[in-house]
Amino acid sequence: MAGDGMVSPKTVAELSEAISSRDRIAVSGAWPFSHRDDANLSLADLTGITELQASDQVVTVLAGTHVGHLNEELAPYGLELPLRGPAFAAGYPDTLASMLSFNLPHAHQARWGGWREWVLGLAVVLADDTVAKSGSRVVKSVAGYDSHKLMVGSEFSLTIPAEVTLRLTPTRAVEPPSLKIHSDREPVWLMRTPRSDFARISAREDVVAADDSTSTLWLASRPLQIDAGSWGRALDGSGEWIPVRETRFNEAARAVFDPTGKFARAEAVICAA
Amino acid sequence: MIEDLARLLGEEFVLHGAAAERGYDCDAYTVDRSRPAVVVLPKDTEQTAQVIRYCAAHEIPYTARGAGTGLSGGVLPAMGGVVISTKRLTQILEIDIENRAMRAQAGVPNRRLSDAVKHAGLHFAPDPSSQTVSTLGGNIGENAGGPHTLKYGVTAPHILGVTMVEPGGDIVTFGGPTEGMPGFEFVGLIVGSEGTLGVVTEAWIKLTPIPTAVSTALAAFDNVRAATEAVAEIIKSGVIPAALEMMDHGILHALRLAFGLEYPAGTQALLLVECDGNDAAKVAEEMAQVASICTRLGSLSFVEATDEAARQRLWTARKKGVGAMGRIAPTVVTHDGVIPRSKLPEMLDTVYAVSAEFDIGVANIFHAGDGNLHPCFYFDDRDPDQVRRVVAAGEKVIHRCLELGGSVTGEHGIGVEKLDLMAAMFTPEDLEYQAMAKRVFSDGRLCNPCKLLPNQKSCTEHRKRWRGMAW
Repeated sequence: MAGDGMVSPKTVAELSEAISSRDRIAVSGAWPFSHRDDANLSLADLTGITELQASDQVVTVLAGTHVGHLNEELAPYGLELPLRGPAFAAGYPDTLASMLSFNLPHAHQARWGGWREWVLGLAVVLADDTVAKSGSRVVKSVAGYDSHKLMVGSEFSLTIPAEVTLRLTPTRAVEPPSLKIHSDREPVWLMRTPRSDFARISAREDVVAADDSTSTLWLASRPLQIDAGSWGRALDGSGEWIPVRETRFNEAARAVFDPTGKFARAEAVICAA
Repeated sequence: MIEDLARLLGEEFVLHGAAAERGYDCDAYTVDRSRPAVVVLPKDTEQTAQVIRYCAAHEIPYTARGAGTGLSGGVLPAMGGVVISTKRLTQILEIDIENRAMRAQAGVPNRRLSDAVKHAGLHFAPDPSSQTVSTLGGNIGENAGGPHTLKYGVTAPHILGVTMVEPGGDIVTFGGPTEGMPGFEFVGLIVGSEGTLGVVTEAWIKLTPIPTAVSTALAAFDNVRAATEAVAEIIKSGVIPAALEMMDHGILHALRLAFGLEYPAGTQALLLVECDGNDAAKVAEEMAQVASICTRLGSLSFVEATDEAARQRLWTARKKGVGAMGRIAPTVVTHDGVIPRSKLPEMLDTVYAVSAEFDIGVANIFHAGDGNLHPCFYFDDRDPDQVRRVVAAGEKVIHRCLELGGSVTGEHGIGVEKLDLMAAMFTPEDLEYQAMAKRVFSDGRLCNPCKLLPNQKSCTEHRKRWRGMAW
């Protein structure tokens, strides 16, 4: 779905240049943008490890790198990002930039956390093409504002991730996930419930997979309603945006980081009660 | 102002006068001090909001404060004004065992959170060394660490949601008991923002099952380098201990003086290792691997304990180490820097060299597994020359951390102590980008001013005043 002006930067400097030269940026191939035809920025060539500190279990890598490729590079060192999962995860985005930007639940989350814990440092390109970073390249740091945590889950709407420093996990410590596959149907809906509702809701007939360690369900159909305390989102990238948190601050964040509205917003249904 | 606040909250919620000014002029970082005009102790979120609205309307700076155990001057009332103490925000509001979540007010001490759910086999995992007194709000402000962060993470991953009075005076809530909701992740930004984005009054915290199998070991080494090499080897092996802590001869000397604790003859460094999990056989296997690494690197002894009382005895050195320093000198500044873990051996060499160069005593007690150093410089803060040397020595150590690819602070925060070091770690563009995060909230000039980011308006003149008050 490449538009006329598709650009595929190979370096952080080229990414900055690409953002500088456009009034509007929509990232291609990044779920759920894959359905869009106005995408004009591909991160597919912004790849490669900048620095691997294997004995410290930390890697710094360009943000367009494919997660599977990164794990292949890490395998000889006995390290990985614990994202091994069942096949349906194929519907998820696959570059580091997309995965951290959408911050979706995964099969090893209960024990190993998610992107909020893994991203130790992040360099981004701002809407005005400035390259800036927060965080560090060590496993523990509280210096400065953790702006990178705001970028996790921000769906490419505040900045574009350029280079990320990640905490790695020793493969020997990773145990099989508690997630259970119920059917081979295609999941279209993802939801998380309070633990107290999980047994009841996971008895639904349309459950594709269920992870009782994080009370997360992948469903083959879209539920008619969301129960109190649960949240859910469509996995097919369709629908409208229903904000679920303090909307005033969502708007404020966009006004501060992207004052001209350069970054396209995702169009996924998000609901919560 | 004092009369207005007393009218607003009631006399019993306001402290003022010389004793209050002196008692609230610093935290556990005592090098810089600044007196507040008044201290208020609101009993709930609504009262806190009333105070902040009053301050906003009258352009009065304010600073939230928990137990005052911080180590970077994070609760120093930098421009005077109002200190908002969370001392009366001590209620646990909701405990949901089934959903492993708890809602509590910001002034509840860390340890009480865990004690409240111990019967259900759960706890609040972050355990800063100050946990018997330091508060939930303070832990959130500083994104506090502790000895078990190596395996369980610092405070941030354990905070599900917060209720905060933002600088405009509005009461707002971010996040909630069900984790991972789509949308901007403000909770992760607020945790660790040193109380500069607003005043957190309540939080939803995550409760974690207590591991059923725990094994603790204390390894003694006759030289510091072998102990640091053991740390690097343990991490490299892929074992993830729950805790991996180190204490050097300076700490052992203090422990001997203060508590009469004795360790094997010739001990220059102790390594405390804890492995835990729900599979006792696996825990034993991990500990066996740790033991073999320590033995290979020449440990003098390796004592292991699995029953609670014996384990607690092994922890004594680590828990009482900093307190014992009081026997050596009137003042201790506990520094905080981070390096990649593989660089520990050479970094410790640097710390001892700097101590000798500036003629300031140093002892080390720290989270070795995270590469998080805590050189404790001991001195007499009534002597301005010693204070200057301590500050210079600390900066030299931290600059070396940066040269080795580390961070200027792992868990104590920037506060006022490390403002000048921010520019050594970040570019002007990085700092401007981080300052944007603060602009997402209402105008925060009055909300804990002069902290975290350098070069804030009108802070330079105030800074001269803080330092002058230590002697």
